[in-house]
Amino acid sequence: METKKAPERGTLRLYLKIFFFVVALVLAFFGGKEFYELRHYKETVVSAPGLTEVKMLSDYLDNLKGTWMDTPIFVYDSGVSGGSVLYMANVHPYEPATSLSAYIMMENIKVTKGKIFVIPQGNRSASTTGMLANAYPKFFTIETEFGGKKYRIGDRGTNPLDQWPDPFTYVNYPSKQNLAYQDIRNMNRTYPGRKDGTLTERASYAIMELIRQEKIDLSIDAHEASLMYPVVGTYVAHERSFDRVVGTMTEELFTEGKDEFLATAAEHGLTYVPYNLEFGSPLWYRCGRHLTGALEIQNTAANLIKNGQKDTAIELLTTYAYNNAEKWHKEWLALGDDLLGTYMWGNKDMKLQKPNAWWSDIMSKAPIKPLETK
Amino acid sequence: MVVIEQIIHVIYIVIAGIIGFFLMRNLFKRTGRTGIVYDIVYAYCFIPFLLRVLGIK
Repeated sequence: METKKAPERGTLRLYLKIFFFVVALVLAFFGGKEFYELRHYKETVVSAPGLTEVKMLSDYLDNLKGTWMDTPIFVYDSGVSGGSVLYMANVHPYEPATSLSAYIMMENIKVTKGKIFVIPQGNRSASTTGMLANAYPKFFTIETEFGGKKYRIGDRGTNPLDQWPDPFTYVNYPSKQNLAYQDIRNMNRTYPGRKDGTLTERASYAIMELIRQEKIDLSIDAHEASLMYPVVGTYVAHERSFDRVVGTMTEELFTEGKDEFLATAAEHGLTYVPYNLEFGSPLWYRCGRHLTGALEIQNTAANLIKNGQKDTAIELLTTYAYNNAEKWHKEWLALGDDLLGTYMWGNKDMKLQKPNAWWSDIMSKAPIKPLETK
Repeated sequence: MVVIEQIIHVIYIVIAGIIGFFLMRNLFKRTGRTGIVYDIVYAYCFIPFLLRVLGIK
């Protein structure tokens, strides 16, 4: 009678290793399938009739051609002269309301003057990798009249498949500011970019080229933020783009008061008093206005007194003084609030700082209380 | 700079492939850490390197 031999221990172990390897391959298949789907999924774009041209970011920088950073730019040109606007979304593709807002804009847009450039996927590479390890979903679906529309939820930084490795510290060009290592793949940290830099820097450079070549007047870069982030629900803009329309603060500007920026603002009706470069607003004129105003008040009061209206004269002077004092007081309070905000909440550096003890002591007596800092 | 970056990127992918190969080889043939638990560890650690070489993740 023939007897079957039990497999040797070594053979059993080999079978076990093969089993583990096959399990790993199966896991890799199912995991990889999800990543592959996210990487290669194409979103559907619906556009309003006014779409005149679809450009690519590589039109502004050749070496982006064929990379995952090359992204479509949808141009809506009214054909009528006017301003030009850039609306860019998904520079951080894990902030998906931004790309959705771009798609909604494209679906409904009607340009009557000037041009609008829409970039729904600012960092296209980052949109092809998700935050699956952080338990983020891969997609979100919007129910519409013509069925569900599926959109990607990407990552914050460029896909490591396209740009890797990261350095120990990222040094921004050209500011030389030291940033966290992963910010080398964060398109919102690589501006103004470099035409021969990393893939993310090149994309930033191409955006700047677009702004320069197309003479963009207003550039809007949409983001989302968590509710615990200090700049949530905020417009962030360079101070030059706010309403402080004035050139370099030179001594000459103080004395002569001639400023081309102010003149341009006046041409557009943005100043409260007439202004032109020929005359400007010289120091002698401003002093003269103060003195003439004061003299006029005094003359009026003197005439009233001369005519026996002493009480009316006193009232005129005191009312004038009171009104101005109240106005100045309000301005000082506003200035105080501004300084307080800057100092206490560290708004300038966008980080919370623990205040000095002497400041805390003073502020403990103030009517408004600063945020608790840890 | 662009070319250098591309070369570095290729080197990185190649290194990922080499590490993946050694993880697979050590799963079947190694002298130290011979327990079954390490078989599972080697097999599991092989996954990300495989996906990276394939350009999936």
